[in-house]
Amino acid sequence: MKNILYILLTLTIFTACGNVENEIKQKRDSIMTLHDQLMERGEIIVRNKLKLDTLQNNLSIFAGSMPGLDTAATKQELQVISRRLQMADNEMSDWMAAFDPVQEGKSDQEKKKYLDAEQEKLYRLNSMFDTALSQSNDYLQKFKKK
Amino acid sequence: MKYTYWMAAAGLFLAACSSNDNERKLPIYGERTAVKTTVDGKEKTDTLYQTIPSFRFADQDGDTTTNQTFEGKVYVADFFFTSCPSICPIMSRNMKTLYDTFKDNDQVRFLSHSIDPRHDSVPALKEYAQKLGVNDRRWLFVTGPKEVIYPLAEKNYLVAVNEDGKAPGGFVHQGYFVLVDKKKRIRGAYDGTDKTQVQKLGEDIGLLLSEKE
Repeated sequence: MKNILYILLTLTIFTACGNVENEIKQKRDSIMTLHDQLMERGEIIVRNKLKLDTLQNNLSIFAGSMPGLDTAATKQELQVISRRLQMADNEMSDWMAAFDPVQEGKSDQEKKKYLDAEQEKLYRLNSMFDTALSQSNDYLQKFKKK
Repeated sequence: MKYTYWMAAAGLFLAACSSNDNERKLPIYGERTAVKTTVDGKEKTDTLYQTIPSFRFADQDGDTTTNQTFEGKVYVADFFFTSCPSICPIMSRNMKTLYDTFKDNDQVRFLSHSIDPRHDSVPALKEYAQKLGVNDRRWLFVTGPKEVIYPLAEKNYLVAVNEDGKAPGGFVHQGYFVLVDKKKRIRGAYDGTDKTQVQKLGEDIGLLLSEKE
């Protein structure tokens, strides 16, 4: 009877460990997927920033076809949007450099806590990307029509 | 008699296949322009293919790497960053296999562009190269402004991917290895995370090396 209890206890411990390991793996995979999606959008961030910076230096070309265009104010707006793109890009770059997916020597609970926090950071970054991209796309669209 | 017949047929089939492989030419990707020239009074039409434009980056030794560095060489280019937690370690391992395979061939080079210049400084690139076991200049790891590297990737190196009918953009961090010939023309793009594709790239490097000028 005692032996059966020991076997059951051992099995329970093994199953619980397996579950935590699985949970950590799933969390890590989901972070990687999010990271890869952000990297893909990072290409658009760089592309849009390049366009906005080019636009800033060539506003006089549009002045002819856009009566009432306040080049000084537009330049300032372009700089703000460009800086926002740069900030989002820098944040992503800093996250990548600091992220440690292995967490050597840490307990499973510590690993899980760390990955949860990192996932939250990526969600915040994702929102930052959304705002920066949507603002820059809207602004570029205005000039595309001309 | 029947056995001899089958052996002869198999032999002919193999000979045909190997001869096809010898004649197999890799496609040339990118834009092309027809140019008319007159040679000895006769009009001739040549095709000008898209080539990798001039570039200038800092490499892992703190030296300057330019397109001249690859003059007369067949090279494989990719895009990575040292802290990449997902596909880059697999890509680097696969590229290292190719680097080792062609270690005795001075005509083959490798060029990895970092897409994280904020953190991939020259010392960081050097450390990455050394960890991989790259101690010579056959494989260069370079860094430069994103505003230069991304357009170079999208408009030049990754044209072969665009031609595969996929929507443009989003390929820089997808692990492609791009094969460039001695005339700086794009001859193929391979999934750098897939061992079978990397093996195919190795075979294609061999084809390029034996290609007549």
